[in-house]
This record gives sequence, C-alpha cells and structure tokens, in this order.
Amino acid sequence: MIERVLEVLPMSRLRKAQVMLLNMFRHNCINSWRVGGEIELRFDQNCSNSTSRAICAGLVIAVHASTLVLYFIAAPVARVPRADVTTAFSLPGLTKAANSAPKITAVRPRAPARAMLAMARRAVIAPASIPATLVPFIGPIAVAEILELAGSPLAVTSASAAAEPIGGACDLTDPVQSALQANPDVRARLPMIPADQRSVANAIMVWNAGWLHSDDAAAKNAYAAIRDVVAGAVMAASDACRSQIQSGPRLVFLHGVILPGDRGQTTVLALGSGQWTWQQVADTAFTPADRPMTGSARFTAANTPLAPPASLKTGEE
Amino acid sequence: MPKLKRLALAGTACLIFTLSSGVALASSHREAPNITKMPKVDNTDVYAFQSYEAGQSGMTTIIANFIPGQFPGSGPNYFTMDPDALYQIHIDSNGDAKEELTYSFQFTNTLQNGTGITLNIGGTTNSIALRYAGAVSKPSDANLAESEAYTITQISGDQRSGTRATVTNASGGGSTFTKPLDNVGNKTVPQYNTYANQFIYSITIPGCSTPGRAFVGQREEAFAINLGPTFDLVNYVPIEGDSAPFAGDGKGFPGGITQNRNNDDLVGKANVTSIALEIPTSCLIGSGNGVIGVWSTVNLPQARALTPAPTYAKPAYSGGAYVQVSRLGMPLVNELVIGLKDKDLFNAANPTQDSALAGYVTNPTFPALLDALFRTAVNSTLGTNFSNLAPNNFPRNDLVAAFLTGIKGLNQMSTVTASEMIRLNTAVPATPQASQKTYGVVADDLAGFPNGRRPGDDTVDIVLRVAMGRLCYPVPIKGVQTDLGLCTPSNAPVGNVAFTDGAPISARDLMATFPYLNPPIPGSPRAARDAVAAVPAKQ
Repeated sequence: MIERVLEVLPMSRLRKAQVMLLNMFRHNCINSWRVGGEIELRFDQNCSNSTSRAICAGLVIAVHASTLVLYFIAAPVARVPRADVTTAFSLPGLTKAANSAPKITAVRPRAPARAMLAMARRAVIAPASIPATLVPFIGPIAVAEILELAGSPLAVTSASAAAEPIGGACDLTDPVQSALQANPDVRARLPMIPADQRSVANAIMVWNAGWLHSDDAAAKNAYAAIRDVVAGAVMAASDACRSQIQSGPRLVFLHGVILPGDRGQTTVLALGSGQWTWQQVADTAFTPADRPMTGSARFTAANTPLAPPASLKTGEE
Repeated sequence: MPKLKRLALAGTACLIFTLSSGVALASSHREAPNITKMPKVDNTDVYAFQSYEAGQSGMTTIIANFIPGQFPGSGPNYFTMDPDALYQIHIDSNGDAKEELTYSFQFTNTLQNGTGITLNIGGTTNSIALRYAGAVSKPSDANLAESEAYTITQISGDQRSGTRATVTNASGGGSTFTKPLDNVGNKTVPQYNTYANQFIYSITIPGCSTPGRAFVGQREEAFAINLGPTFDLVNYVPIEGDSAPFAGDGKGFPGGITQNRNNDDLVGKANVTSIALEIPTSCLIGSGNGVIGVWSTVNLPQARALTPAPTYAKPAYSGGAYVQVSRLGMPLVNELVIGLKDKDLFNAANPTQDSALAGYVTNPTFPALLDALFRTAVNSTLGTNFSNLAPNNFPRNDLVAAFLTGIKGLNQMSTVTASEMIRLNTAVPATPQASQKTYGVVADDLAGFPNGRRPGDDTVDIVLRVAMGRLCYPVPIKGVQTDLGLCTPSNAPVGNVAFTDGAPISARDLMATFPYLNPPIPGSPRAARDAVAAVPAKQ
C-alpha cells in the first residue's frame, strides 16, 4: 500500500501538500476542494461556516500525520520506484531531469555543491552486491568528476582575439569581385575558357606576379577582359590601399557565368602569391606581354616558386 | 531533513555513473581518456563539403560519425544510439565561434508492442532474445523486434536559448524518422543498400524553402589510417616509397611505406554510425561571407545513476543539465595535437574557449616527436644533415591558419576568431567525384581539405604533411605554385616530403551519392565481410 502511495505521490508532491496545509492553518477555512489528478483547495479568510472549519482542521491533521508516517517508513521499501516518478533531481543548480522530450535549457551545468562532493567521497561506489531492500535514492549526485565542469579553466575568447577582416580595411577583393561580376564582357567571355585551363575546382590563377595569357583566342579575350576590369577596380582605390602588402592568394568568385550545366556555375579566379600589392596587379596589367609563348597559358612575368628537391616530391597531384 | 540525508547516503551506495565499457577494437577515434568509456557518444569524424552528387549543386552535406570500431558481426545488439544523448551539428556563419544554427538529434528505441517479438512456448508467451525474427527489408518490418527512431530540431542562435523548430518529413509530414537496422548480414538483410536507402528522408527545414535530406544509419568506415603501427611510435617509415602514390615502382623514399588497403585498420574492416544532413547552402551561410564553420558535439545529462532493477525503457536514471562530452571539428586535433591531460577538457570545451588551448597549435609537440623518431634515419638515408625535421616557425602560423582561423583568402570567415572547427568556403564549387584530389588544397583541388572535408580526402596524410610544414611550401592553383604567405620553406626542412601512413582513401572508393559513405560491411557471412576488406584502394 505504502509502496503504491509512493509511486503515485512522490516526495515533492507531499511537500507541496504540506505548503498548502500551512495555508489552510493560516486561513483555517476552506470553502471548496476537489481531488482529481491534482488537489485543488480554495481558501476563504472570512469564512464562518463551522462545518467547513471542522473539515479543514480534520483534513490538516490527517494529511500531516500521513506525511510524517510516509517520511519515516519510506526507506525500507523493497521495490524500486517507477522511473517516471523518481527521475527528478533536487540538486541545486541543475535543471530538472528530462522527461520524454528533454530540451536544452538556458541553465548551464554547474558543479554540485561542496557538501555533495564530500558526500560523494564518503559514498560507496559500485557496491559488489546491492541489498534487495535498498532504495536507489535519486537525490544529490555523488560523482566528483562533474565538479570539474563547475568553472571551466578555459576562458572564453575575448573580443580582442577577433582578427581583422580578410586583407584588412584595404582588401580590394570585394570591389574587384563586384566589378568582375557586373561586367558583361567578363560574363560573356569567361565561359569560353577551356576546361583544361581550370583546375578541378574550376579555379584559374590569373595573376601571379604577372598576368595569365593564353594562345587560345577565346580564352585570350576572356583573360584580357578580366585583366582590364581588375586593373580598373584597383586603380579606383586609394594609393594607400593599393600599396598595402597582401599575403597569400586572394580568391574571387564569379557566380553564374559559366555555361549552363557546368558544375555550380562558379569560376574561382586567384590572384597573388606570397607578399604582393594590388598596385603590382595594376602595374603589370598595363605591361604588354613580351615573353615568348610556350604552352597554352603562361604568365607575363616570371613566377619563381620554390620547387621541391627531385628526390622529395610529394606526388600529391 | 536529517532523514533525507541518511537516505541520500544510503542511496549513493548504488550510484555510479554508467559509462558503458568500450568496444574492444582499438581505434584512433577513441581520442580522449574519458570518451573511451562512452562509445555511443564518441564522435569519430565530421565531414562538411559542397554536395558533389549530380544535380545537387547549391547543397551542403554535413556528416558526423559516431561509435567507433564497429566490428560488423557484433550481434546480437549491434549498435544503437544513446537515447539520453543529444547529438548535435553546429554551424557558425559569421566567425564569432558561436553557433548560429544547431541541428539536434534525439533517439528513441521502442520494442514492438512494448515487448519485442513474442512467441507462445507451451502456453507461455515470451519475448525473443533478438532484435529481429526474420529477414528485414523495409521500415516497420514485422520481423523487427525493436525500432530506433529520432527527431531533428533546428535551433537558431544559441544552442541553449535559441529558437527551436522541428524538422519535418517533406514527404507526408511527421517529425519522427527511423534509423535502419545495422547490417547484421546477408541472410537477415538480403539487400542492405536497397533497404537502407528507404531511410534517406527528404526533409523540410524551418525557414528554408528548399527541402534537404537526412539519413542516420550504419556505414562503412571511411577514415583511412594505419592505426596500430602509427600509434606504435610510427612503426614504419612514414614517407612514400613509390615515386608517386600507387606508382608501384619503389622509386620514392628508400624503405618508405607504399599505398595499400592492407595498411588500413578501419576502411574495409569496421563500421560506424553516421548522421548525415544535406541542407541548401543558402540556408546555412546567414549574413557571413559564405564560409561556414562546422563542428559536432554530444551532450549527456549531467548525472546518470544505475538502478539495480533496470528495465528496457529505463536501464538507468539520468537527469540534470546537459553536459558536452564529445566534440569534433577538424580531424586528428584531439588525437595528435591536444595534450593528454587536456583531451577531455577539449571535448567539453566550446570553440569560444579554444584560444586557451591554442598553445598546443602554436607550439605543437607532434612534429618534435616525429623528429625524434626519424631524424637519424632520414639523414642517413638521404645523406642530409638536418638538425631538426620539425618546422621552426613559432608560433606555427601555418597550423593556426589551417586549424584555428582558416586560410586567408580561402576559408577564413568575415570575422576571425581563433577556434577549432571545419571551415568550408561554400563559394568554391564542388569537384565531381571522378576528379577529386585526395590531398585536397595542396593538390590543386580547392574544394578539398582543409577547405571543408570530404569523405575521400586523405586527412591523415594531409595532416601529417601540414604538421611537418607543407603549407610553408607553395601549393598549386591550376598548376601555378602559389605561396600562401604563412611561412617559408626555410622554416620547414622536410615540409615538401611525401609523408604518409600508407593507408589510402579517395572519393572513388566511396559512393557518389548522398550519404556518400559506403553501405556498412555485413556481419555475415565471413566471405562477404572478407570481400569488402579485400577491395583494393582506388586512386
């Protein structure tokens, strides 16, 4: 019987009932009550009905007595309480146990209180055999490891750790990209660049200390259009920005200008290598190509990347 | 109250945290001491890339793998997800190292009719001991004793306080999806791929006009690694022994290892459980510059207590706030970069806290270990006189770029906050499967690692090379050697050496369609299992 009561009425409910009873003591009168899924009592401070007062007093005494009895005989219950009534934790700082549809709450995990850590250290962890009469009390959590979560030793990154935008305030990648994207000549000619002059990811290195040229007539016109537009966009920037040192390549994405059916319809144009300036990009745009042409595409200025020793080539491609 | 305390002390006698024992097979995925105790929530790999399935341009695929080292024949229970856990995929689209979007997966296991399949034995009705009682070919198959379902919740903003909305099935509605039974074997699931494909769902993503796709289920491992010998103090010569991978000419580094599937301890031998999402890229990039940061986590309730009377529905009690126990973005960071004493802390940390652990990246120990192991052998073999094989540029800005900030111009977000996650520039078009380069960016394929990560990127080899200074040397962009400006060759004496573990992987080894990872290796018969292991690696 008591086991059944415990299953239906967990301790938290009984404590709520006690609070209500205190209210009843204070007001000493009820004018209505209903027992259903929840107990509902309404109090009336001005009630003078003697029957109601008697019922109220009787109820108060009876429920208090029941509560006390339940408290003191709860421990030796042999049966394990049902999961759905025993998963609530009373641990300070923790959210209530998740039910069938747990949510992430706004409460961040905190460490159990210091007293609980001490309790945990005294506790017997993983007993070899569990007495049949032992109630698996789900109360303060006795696992010290959780305490390490209390205040993570890792600080949150400060605002000052945020770096500047790509290329700093003078990065001309965006204006160059906008100019290329908006230019009808570029949009018309870019699709004519043959596939063998693009990487597997549709990338073309158009400037690397010099501008890319091609023997292919259609590609040649496309590169020329790109060069003119880029140079124009660069020259529109301030001297300070044009002469700012850039580090590493910049990628310019031209969307929707590749022939229909091409993957992603995006071409990636790359400019720059190592340390360079946008001024150099503009300067070399106005230098006629005077090097002898070999191969299908090459640069007007020498690009001298460091080549790995023959014996140590990576074979990555 | 004293009574309650007495009860509490008595109760704690049966309290322990239920951290189920690990899978016996060793795996590099078990990268931190504490997570080895929790295989169901051990995040093994994360992939993020532009979908390269034909007709899927404009879509981004994210795959998070869990439960490492799944021996295919691990009956009778095989590998279910943890119903207490929150499996999450996070996306940072503006570079503040905080999630703008989170996709949260929660699992529920259900016995058929509450009991599993029952049999009347001599007048007594008993549940059978297995998860199935006959051949299985479809979701809700009558032969299934147990089903595994999940929900997907999209959280916009902070994962704890943001706006929550349910992802629904675009075909027929509903918010509950089903996970297929693992590949028990050819007799139980005769056509596994056909069966599993029924669990690829078209999904309606809140706030996104184009549907995406979702799949959760077992897959064959795609993380190629020469696991045992690597962690046996690199018990091989980790430099390509051929003039090029698969050349077969022995003209590479004398005595160096060559590419062979037999060098792999996972691909072809183990399975993993994948959570795969395909989402329209436009729904992910927010107001940023098109680069997204991706990482996954698993959270568990802070407390879990065993009960001496477990039931199927409630084998243990759990409650409390959710605590992050697993985290993964870039591969091999927690394995090879973070110090042993901080590995569990890293798993619990948020990206916003990573600057506190940045010292492991700026001043890494792994290259120094390789130097100690191989300097003498390299010098004697090549006749060189390297005093130290490890790069000497400190802080290692090349590693900071690759792992913490993204590479400027390639995959750096509009705001740069040093934090560990996969950074994918969604503007770089996907490279079709047939032409993908297994070494990614350093092999002239801007759509590959470390610009995102595709299943066919050989991240072990790439990370080995990058750790030893590969980015201090030029990388090709359409064949043009391009200096990334991060460091110089003088900083990295062997940065252009073809370091490798000899365990290859390529996109051609895997599927070209969502969810891209191969169907799982069958648990039976042995001949079928062995046949998968015997499939040679493709270039």
